[in-house]
Amino acid sequence: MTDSRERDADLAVRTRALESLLLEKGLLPEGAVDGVVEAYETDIGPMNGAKVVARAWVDPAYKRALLDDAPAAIAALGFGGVPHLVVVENTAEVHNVVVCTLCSCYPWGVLGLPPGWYKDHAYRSRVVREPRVVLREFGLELEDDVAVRVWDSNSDLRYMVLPERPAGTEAMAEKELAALVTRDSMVGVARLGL
Amino acid sequence: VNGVHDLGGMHGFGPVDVADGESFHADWEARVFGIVMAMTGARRTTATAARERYEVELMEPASYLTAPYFERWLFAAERVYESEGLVTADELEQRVSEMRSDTPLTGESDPAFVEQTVEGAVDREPSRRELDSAPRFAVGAEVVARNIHTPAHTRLPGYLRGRAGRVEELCGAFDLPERAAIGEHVPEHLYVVAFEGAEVWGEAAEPNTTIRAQLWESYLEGK
Repeated sequence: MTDSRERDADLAVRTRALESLLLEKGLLPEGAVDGVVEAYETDIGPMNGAKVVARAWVDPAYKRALLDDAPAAIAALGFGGVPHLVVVENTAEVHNVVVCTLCSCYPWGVLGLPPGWYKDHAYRSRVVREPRVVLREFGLELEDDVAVRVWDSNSDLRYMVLPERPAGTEAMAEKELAALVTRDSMVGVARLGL
Repeated sequence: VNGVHDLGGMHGFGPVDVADGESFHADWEARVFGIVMAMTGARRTTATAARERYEVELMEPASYLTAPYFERWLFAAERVYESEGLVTADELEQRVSEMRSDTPLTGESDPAFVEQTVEGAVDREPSRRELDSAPRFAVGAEVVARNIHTPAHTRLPGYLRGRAGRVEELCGAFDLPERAAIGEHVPEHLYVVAFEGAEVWGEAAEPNTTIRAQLWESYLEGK
């Protein structure tokens, strides 16, 4: 524990030293780092992807456009930053789940920055080899007749899952639906329910 | 690089820590993220994402496995900035030794440059390229991922090498990572290839499971 705290303190100093040099040399203006962090902490996150999913659930033409050309479809809702986004649809027969075995590629513009578990060795090493076991650790038990497709984000393409619309939500408005959509469901490690 | 970053299929890392939902676990992690993205957004570095990944892959293996995620980013950033003549290793070590946690961070005030930097950090440039040559494989083609072991940066995961799959989709052309990591832009056709679980994992495979990866043309040969 002490080791990890010391390492953390050393890294904090090292990071601050680097930032101070970049500022001093005029390579970055004051406030640029804060601005970038704030953009990713407040404007960019899974709430963006949730709006895309909710629209796809209520508007079949939008859903077709999303599956066909996701960058254009998310741009129509004001989102961007993922020029090579691909959206894959979960159904009763097919369950898609996304990983990056080589680093941590993730569709930032629609889901924000990845959670710790997505970047960790356990998820990256195992979900390609034993996806059903890993999904069980997230509390998702898939029936044997559901085909599992694991997408390794090993190129410039970024993947987001369009989860199934939960039963019993037929009367809900788009905004209420968006509030049901979780980050995990858009990575493919969860199904949605009411 | 045949490195420990190439984790697909490895044993021994235990259960997934599903409760670890945070993107940052300490302030410095957010700062590292902000620095790297700001330097790219401000176009102060010409390093490609492939170059940054390559630097991470060159970390000493035991360090890679034990370093917090954003320490790997910091490691890559330091090496990129030094190679581009932006911050030397000596300067950085000197500054680290003088640094106190309450040393103020001050720089030039330039709101327009800040705005431009943040925009650059958020809007990612498309990387699909035009390519005159026709793709070698069509949808439905049976292909094998070549058994390549290169010290260069590569995005051909080890667990797929030598395995047979089927072309599912043509994705257009993208810069080959091997070359992009050293600053050269050499586009090649990219394909979504589906591999059956049993083809990759043999008897250990779970039933009714496929893996889909995107492979550059030179990673593939006809079956």
